[in-house]
Amino acid sequence: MLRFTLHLLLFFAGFLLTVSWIQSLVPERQKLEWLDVVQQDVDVIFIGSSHVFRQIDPHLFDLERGAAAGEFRSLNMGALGMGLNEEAYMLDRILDESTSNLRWIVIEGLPFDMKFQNENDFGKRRLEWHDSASTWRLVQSILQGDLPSEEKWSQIQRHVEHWWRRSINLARGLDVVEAMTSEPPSFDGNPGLGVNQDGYVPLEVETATKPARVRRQRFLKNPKPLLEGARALPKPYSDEHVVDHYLRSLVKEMEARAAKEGVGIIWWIHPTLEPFHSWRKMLADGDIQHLLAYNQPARYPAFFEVRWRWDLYHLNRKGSEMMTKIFAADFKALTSAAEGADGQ
Amino acid sequence: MIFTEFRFLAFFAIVFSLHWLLRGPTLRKSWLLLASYTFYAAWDWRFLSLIWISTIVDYIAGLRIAGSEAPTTRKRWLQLSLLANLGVLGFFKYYGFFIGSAESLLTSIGFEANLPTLQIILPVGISFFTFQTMSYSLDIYYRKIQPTRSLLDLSLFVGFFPQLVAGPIVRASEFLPQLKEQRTLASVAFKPALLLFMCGFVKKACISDNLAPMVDAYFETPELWTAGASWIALTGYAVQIYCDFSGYSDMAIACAAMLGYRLCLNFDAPYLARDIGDLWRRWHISFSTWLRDYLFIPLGGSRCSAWRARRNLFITMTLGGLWHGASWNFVLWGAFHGLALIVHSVWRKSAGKSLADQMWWKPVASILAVWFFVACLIPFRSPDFETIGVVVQAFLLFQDHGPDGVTSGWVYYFLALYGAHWLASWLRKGNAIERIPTPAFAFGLGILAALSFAFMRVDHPPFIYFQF
Repeated sequence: MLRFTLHLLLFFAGFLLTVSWIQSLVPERQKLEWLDVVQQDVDVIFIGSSHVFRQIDPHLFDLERGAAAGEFRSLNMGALGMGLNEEAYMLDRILDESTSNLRWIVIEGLPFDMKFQNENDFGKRRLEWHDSASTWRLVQSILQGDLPSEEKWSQIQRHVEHWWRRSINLARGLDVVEAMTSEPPSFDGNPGLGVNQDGYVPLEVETATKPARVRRQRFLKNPKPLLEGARALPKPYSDEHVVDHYLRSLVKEMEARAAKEGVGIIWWIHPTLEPFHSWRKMLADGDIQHLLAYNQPARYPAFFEVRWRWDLYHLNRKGSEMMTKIFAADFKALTSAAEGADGQ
Repeated sequence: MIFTEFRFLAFFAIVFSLHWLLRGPTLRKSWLLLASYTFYAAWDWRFLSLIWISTIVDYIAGLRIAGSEAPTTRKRWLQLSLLANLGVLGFFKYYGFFIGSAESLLTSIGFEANLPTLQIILPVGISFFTFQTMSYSLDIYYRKIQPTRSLLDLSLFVGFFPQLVAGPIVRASEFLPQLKEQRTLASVAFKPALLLFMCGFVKKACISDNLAPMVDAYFETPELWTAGASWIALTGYAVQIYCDFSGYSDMAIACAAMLGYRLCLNFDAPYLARDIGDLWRRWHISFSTWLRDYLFIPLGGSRCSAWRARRNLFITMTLGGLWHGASWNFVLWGAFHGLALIVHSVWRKSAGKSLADQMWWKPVASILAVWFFVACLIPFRSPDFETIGVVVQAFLLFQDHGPDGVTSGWVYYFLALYGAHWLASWLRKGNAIERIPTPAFAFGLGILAALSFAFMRVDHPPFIYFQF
């Protein structure tokens, strides 16, 4: 028995040493590597899904805010299909960097979906954000939440499995081999970072993915859902609206984490056709400090016109430029008011 | 639940521990049977009934065949067994195929056919366990074995989980005697078994699964790719299917070995075969020997006129193709191999006799055999006849259909395949592993496990042969 235990320990020693060695070689995602290079120049960062990645142009944003930007610049760290949990993970990673000049992080307000229906279930990025902190946070929230117990355990099992897969570097071997055998990444002219190296890649025929092109064709054939959705959007908001328990606790935690580093969060809602009442409710309840919502056809009718859209879910390049300009003006007003209030 | 999933590793750890903790053969066998049924029920518990039907019918038929000397009675019970097994197989696997084909035939000759169609789910492993149980009744009928009186033993023979869903197709004559043996934990050769499991795991999870997206991308839209891409995709598929299936077999054999049972070898470095005949002696061995013993030989085998022997070979291989799936693609695949084996046997008896001894000819013959095998994968992998046409134009006539090529990443997988072939042959020299000090082996196995997890895919695609 003693010998068996010794052999088992040796097996785990070999296993854990190799796991740690591989972990030290796993390359960082490109945008975080780029942030590492330019961190001292950056004062505003955008995080979110394709709505951020495809619709917020940091270069134009910096031009629009003009003197307010000073010597600093902004950076778009959005990625296709990013969900709220991944945003929280990215926030942690960004704040872990020594970004001493960072003042604001603009985060896309997203609907919360515990089943992650909008993400690739087995994607590497999903494993990536299941670090110990995120997984523990999820497990705690699921335990405290009001899901039926069977669903609770199945959710917990799923997240713990993702955490385990991440811990053993599942599917990262080829990334390591590629990083070891290829030249160190060059950021010059890197298409993933966009032409201005600010992480923004607009939706155009050349840059759109195949599914995005298919969605565009479908949208151009039948734009009715956009027009009808926009007409139906001003849904009555009530103070009685119930915010999901997990959403509220995660958002509060993100706010506290950023505040601790002296960074403000602005929650941004893109011109979606959903009412997103939870975010308004959280603003009213003081869980979040700043919210800029563009899902208001009455106030921003152009965002809901076919000519400014790529598809039902995204603006095209021109629409994104318009969005960025409007957002820059709102940002300027909001931050000067907030910084003025802080000064007093 | 598949062998590369973490939940299988947990399942096996429990089955293994309790198996060796229990005292007495009946308790152990009962535990293994329960575990096997649980393993199968993880897919669909409803189809457990098919395994039970097959087991009970063959249990009774086996006893009745052995208990009677009257040829008619023996034959009737054998017919009942075959009818039950082939009936289950035919209904679940081939009903839709035959109805569809009959409908197409009737329509083509001008009849309006409206035959009853059913949406039938294919129970996983049905082709494997029905063939296994049929061999039991046939062996008793041919007086090769005595029937077992223990329903538990027969149930475990049919349902033993390592080989239940994708083989190897075990013979009763090999397995049932093992159930009578006394087995101890000390008699298990753990080092070769663990390494064989890891070898199978790497083949399936690290090589086959990673090649699948490249192969799938090509076969989804072959009209967009170059002729070079068709060669890489088809060779890639040959590597994928070998690593997938032989990886499963390795893991099955290793799991059985850790529980104290021996399963037969299913692959023997097939891509190093000398010729097409040799390739079939090395590829899916348990299936090809099954076809030989229960189809080719009963048809007359080769101890008859040359013409009849060739006919028997062709029928055997064509039906072997149909076993793989209810589609004319598989029939075509089997028929091509049947023709190739006939041509090879004719050639060997004439011109080939003098060439076979030439040194230079050996590598040429080996490459030709593997090339032919790869080319035959066109109907095997293509979803329809239209795709077959496009791929044949690219692969055989070197026609570029589109501008898309394949990245050079595939080279790694071919190197890995070579490594897998080498490791498999090294593993069979069991002594080499036994000489490694156990502490060093345990530490090395830990390293290998960590490395193989890193090269897995994020998801767990099922084994290709599960669909057969």
